[in-house]
Amino acid sequence: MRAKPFVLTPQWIMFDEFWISLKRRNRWLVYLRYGAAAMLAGFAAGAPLALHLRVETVPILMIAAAILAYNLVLHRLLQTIPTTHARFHGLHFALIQISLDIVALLVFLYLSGGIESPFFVLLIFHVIIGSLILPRAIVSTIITIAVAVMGTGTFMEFRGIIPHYTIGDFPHLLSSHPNYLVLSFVVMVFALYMSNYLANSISKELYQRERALTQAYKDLEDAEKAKSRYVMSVVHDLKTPIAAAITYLTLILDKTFGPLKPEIERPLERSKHRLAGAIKLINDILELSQVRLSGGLTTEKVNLTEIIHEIYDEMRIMFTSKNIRFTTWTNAAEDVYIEADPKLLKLALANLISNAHKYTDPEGNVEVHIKVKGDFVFIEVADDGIGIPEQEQSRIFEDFFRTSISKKRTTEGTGLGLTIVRQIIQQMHGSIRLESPSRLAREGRPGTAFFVTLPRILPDISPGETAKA
Amino acid sequence: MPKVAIIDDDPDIVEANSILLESNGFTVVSAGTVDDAVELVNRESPDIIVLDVMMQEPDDGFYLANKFRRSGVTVPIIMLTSVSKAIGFNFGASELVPIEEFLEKPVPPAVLLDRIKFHLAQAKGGSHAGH
Repeated sequence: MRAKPFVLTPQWIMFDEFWISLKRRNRWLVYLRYGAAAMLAGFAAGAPLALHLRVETVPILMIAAAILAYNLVLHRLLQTIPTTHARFHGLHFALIQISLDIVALLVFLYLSGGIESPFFVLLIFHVIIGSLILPRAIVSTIITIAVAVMGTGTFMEFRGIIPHYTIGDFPHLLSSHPNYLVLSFVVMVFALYMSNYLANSISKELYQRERALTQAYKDLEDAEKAKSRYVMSVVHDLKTPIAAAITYLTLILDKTFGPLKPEIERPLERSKHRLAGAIKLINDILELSQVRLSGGLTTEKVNLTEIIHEIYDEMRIMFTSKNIRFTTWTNAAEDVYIEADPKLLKLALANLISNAHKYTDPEGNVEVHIKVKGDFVFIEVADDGIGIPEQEQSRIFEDFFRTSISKKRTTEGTGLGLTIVRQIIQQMHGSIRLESPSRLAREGRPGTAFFVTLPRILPDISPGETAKA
Repeated sequence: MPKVAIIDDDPDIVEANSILLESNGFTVVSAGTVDDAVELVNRESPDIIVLDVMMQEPDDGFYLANKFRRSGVTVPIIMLTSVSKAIGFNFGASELVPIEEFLEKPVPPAVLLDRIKFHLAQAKGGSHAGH
């Protein structure tokens, strides 16, 4: 069993998914074998009574016991098989178990009639399984050895050198019609090699396609990151001159250069306002690129309750100036902690709350509910604002999408806020959906409610590439 | 009259901030490149430095801040950046970056004035006990 690694692991299977699925298949073979051993023992013990066949009960029971014994060892060994390309890996394991099975099967075939055995089709079954997992050359070698053993055995039985066993009392074919024997043998050999060839070609093609898909996905991810970096540098270069212009305008409007004619003041105010809008858009794009760029999250235990209050404190003036009532409610007795990236979590929630504020008229209501249930926390941000028309609800998370109502209003928006929110929530293994009208709906004010579900403890995340400045 | 050094490669930012600060009674000196900045700070010994993060290279600001600190410059440094929040340069003023504060561009003139006055007062309070 000294198979060289490079023979067992051709280049086309060198990718992670292969090793993971290989381990799964190896495990299934071990489980199946328990069933095979049980069926074999059942056959040995039950066939004489149930089927009125004469079988070599004791030797076959011994084969079943042997299969059970080596399967127990294999089962134990399975735990230590890595899902990577190690010194002793999944393909070695598969080769060992398939070889052992074929040896056991050959012995059983001999005891159940040799070439006449109704069980010899099982040989084809084993070859197919082997071909799905192991390289073609290895399985061909196994087939050649098995065929040679069977051929020699049959010849020796025919010549009476070794005894012939049969599971029936009827006159056996072995001595009566040699041509029938040769035909059976040729068909079997043909079926074995063809099964090996076909099963192996198909599985190889599937693995190659899977690998190509995996690669394509990774390439896409890399391209997306490259794009984000490019966007960030372009956007940064756009922001600098606008920042300079805003500084000048502010100085002028602050009357640093002396008094202003009242009719000039408003156009200047508008210029500054529009430039500030551009800065806001640029910041949104930068934030979005950042979220897309960061493959991994920096997670820590975050006080969700406190974050909500921080956000409100930062926006308090905005809420009081529009006289919007902001209330919070939670079913938790204490502050709610979750595992999250604090910066991104705050960014997402701030976006939702600022949206609620932006699209709610004066004297309106904004409510934030935090509900802890099992391993999840449910956050609802509801308002009684302008709402979102039903036919637009499915598009609300798209880049640069703004609802028809929001566009009619003077409210400034970039259409990127919710895209950012959803990206962040998804990165945190959470989900977000919306309802409009919300439960705060009143006459002419349908309102909107966003429901965010986040796991309180994050599942294992593979350490991703973090953003570099 | 406190002396402010503005280090930025954008002449408009330098000019606008100079106008703002001078009209509020500060003396302003400025530089637009890394080399000029080193020379400027050595020659003028400003009371506070307003430094842009990105000049020719994305990290010139950090490089300069470290260089100043290593060469014994202890006056407050305020760093201006266009991208701090956005690109997760979420470095607050820490030991890694030896500066007093980050401000995101565009900085409203009132805020810039306020922060400069604040850090000048802090620095003064630090050197004159009881102030």
